[in-house]
Amino acid sequence: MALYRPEWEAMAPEEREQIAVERVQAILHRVYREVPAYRERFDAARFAPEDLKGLEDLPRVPMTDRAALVEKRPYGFFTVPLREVVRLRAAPGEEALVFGFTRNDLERVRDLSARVLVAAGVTADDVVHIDLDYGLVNGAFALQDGAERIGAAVIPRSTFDPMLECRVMEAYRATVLLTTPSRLLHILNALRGSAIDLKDLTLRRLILGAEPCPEGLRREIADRLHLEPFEVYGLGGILGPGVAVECAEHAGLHVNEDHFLVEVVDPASGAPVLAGVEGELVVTTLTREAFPLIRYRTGDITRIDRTPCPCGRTSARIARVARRADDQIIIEGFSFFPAEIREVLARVECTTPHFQLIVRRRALHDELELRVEVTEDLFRDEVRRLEDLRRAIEDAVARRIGVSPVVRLVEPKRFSGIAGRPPLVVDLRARGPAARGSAPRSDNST
Amino acid sequence: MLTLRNVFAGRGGLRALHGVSLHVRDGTIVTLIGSNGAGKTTLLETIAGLLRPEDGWIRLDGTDIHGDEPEAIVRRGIALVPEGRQLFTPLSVRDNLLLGAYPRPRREVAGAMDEVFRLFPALAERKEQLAGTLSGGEQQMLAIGRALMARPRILLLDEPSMGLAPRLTAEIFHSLRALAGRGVTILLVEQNARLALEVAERGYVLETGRIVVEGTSEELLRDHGVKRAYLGRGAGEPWDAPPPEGGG
Repeated sequence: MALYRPEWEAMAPEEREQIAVERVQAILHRVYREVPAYRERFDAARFAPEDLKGLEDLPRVPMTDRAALVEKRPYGFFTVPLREVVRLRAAPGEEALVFGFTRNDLERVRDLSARVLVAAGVTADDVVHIDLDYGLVNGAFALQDGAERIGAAVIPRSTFDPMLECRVMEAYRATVLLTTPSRLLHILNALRGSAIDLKDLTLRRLILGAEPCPEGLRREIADRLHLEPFEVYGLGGILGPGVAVECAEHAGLHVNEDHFLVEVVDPASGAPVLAGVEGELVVTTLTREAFPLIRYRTGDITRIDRTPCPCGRTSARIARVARRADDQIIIEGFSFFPAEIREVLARVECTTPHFQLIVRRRALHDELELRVEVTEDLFRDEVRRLEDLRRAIEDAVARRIGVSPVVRLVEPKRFSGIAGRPPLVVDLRARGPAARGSAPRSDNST
Repeated sequence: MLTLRNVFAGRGGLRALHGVSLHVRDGTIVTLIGSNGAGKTTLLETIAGLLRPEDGWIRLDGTDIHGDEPEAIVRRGIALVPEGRQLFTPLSVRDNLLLGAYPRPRREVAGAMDEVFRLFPALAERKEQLAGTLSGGEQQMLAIGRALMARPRILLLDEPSMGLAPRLTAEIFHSLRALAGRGVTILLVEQNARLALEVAERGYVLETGRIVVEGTSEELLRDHGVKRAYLGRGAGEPWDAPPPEGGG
């Protein structure tokens, strides 16, 4: 299959290494000069930019995490004055972060989007349906630009109604569907009992992104659509969708290493893990101008594979991200990830993929509360159904994770409203000697 | 390919380069822009072997050259056109060119000189004239011509536009493009960043001995930091307010 930028994607590894060293040295010098927050962190760690002589010195550079970025909101980590920024985007979350892009940044994001779409097999002959929430998924605009750059015809999502979106795909003979795993499940559920079946449409490529996709969910999606998904990785839209993408080998996601350096560290200690071992993904941007990230802890669990790929790309691959480091919940000896709850809910009628987990310490045991946003449809029936639904969710979750939650149903749009998502996990237990690293997202200090 | 990695260098105990890494692919023009004292000349002199790096390495096609004598580096195909031309002004154009041919066998010299004259016809007309009597632009052509007599693969150029009228500068840069077209690799140091970025494929920005920006010329021309610092007045967007009188 074609490569959009063969000169970069199939570059000789030695040459790419030289370019990566040059770029990381330049960005370190730049942030050290322009961003007091980075300078303080480097000084505190007794690290000077010229101490980095090669990529092997990367572990000496202090890491950054979401908490550090939140502390300096809104503009504390910007490398250029605001007047040089041409786009601002908020990253979802209670403590919304704002990221900026210069003209060059946007140009590179578009180019990288085109790259990942070509890797996933998109061509100028395709009709690409982008079923992403343009308000919430930061990568939606970039992917649209990338698809248009390739010359494909793009249909952006026009309504929230999954049935209508399916009719659009059917009527315009969409050949590529680009969406999130949870949205796709939502569509599949909505199609139950209808005359439309996604696998009978003209779709020939399925591209998934914006959230972790557990293997079981991926298999289910592949079976129901008769399509092997191509996953794109873009760090919650912070960096745009062009960080990494699966090629037709479906054996990991190729990282665009001329723009992003990736490492995997032990989530607890932050120390580098041995080659091929699973750990937390750490990303350094090599070409970002407005908001470079230096050794940013993504919270995503993956591993790095540097063996050659038959597709011709010479870049390293990361394993598909199925879970995050910081949302892991351990309760009564059982551990699970919110993504598993999402999978369970996908099979229960009248629920949305939007939910919240609250963990409390009771006298004798810990309690897990699960707040689930329901769909409008639920209210068309009599009230008794609410209780049935509650119990059905409790049973399904208990079967999956071993812990029986207390389920509370919340009204539609409570969590999915545009005003920013509430934290997915609120852990109200006193901070114990939990076997985890810093977990800013699951802490609630209030 | 010429590759530098973590080069630290300076003179008289004064360190001018703090870990510079860069590369120049064969047959391309790469420019190094930066203000006075950024370390640009030091960098070229270090590549040419006139200064020895305190740390780091310089490789030509994977072979270390940073310990070599300047003569050996010329023989490897790297020629420096120094800032201010440094011609032998009491000698004729022809003799200056012959001096540049010292690493080459005698039988190749006439052919090399013909090539220089084809590139710079103005020099052919004045081959018997003393170098000191040439105009600034012609002197710059002679300096480049002298370096070309060694038939270098890589040309290191230090401020070729210095002191030249815009028309002559354009002529010089035109010939640089022609040279690159013939496969000569060029590392161009320039204060005239706009001109350099127009002719170069890629560029680096050097500030106080450290590279702070790397990119294609297109990207550098769009970079506000580069615009502000190196492209000077008039580089702003048309809707920007004009700079205050007398300010700069």
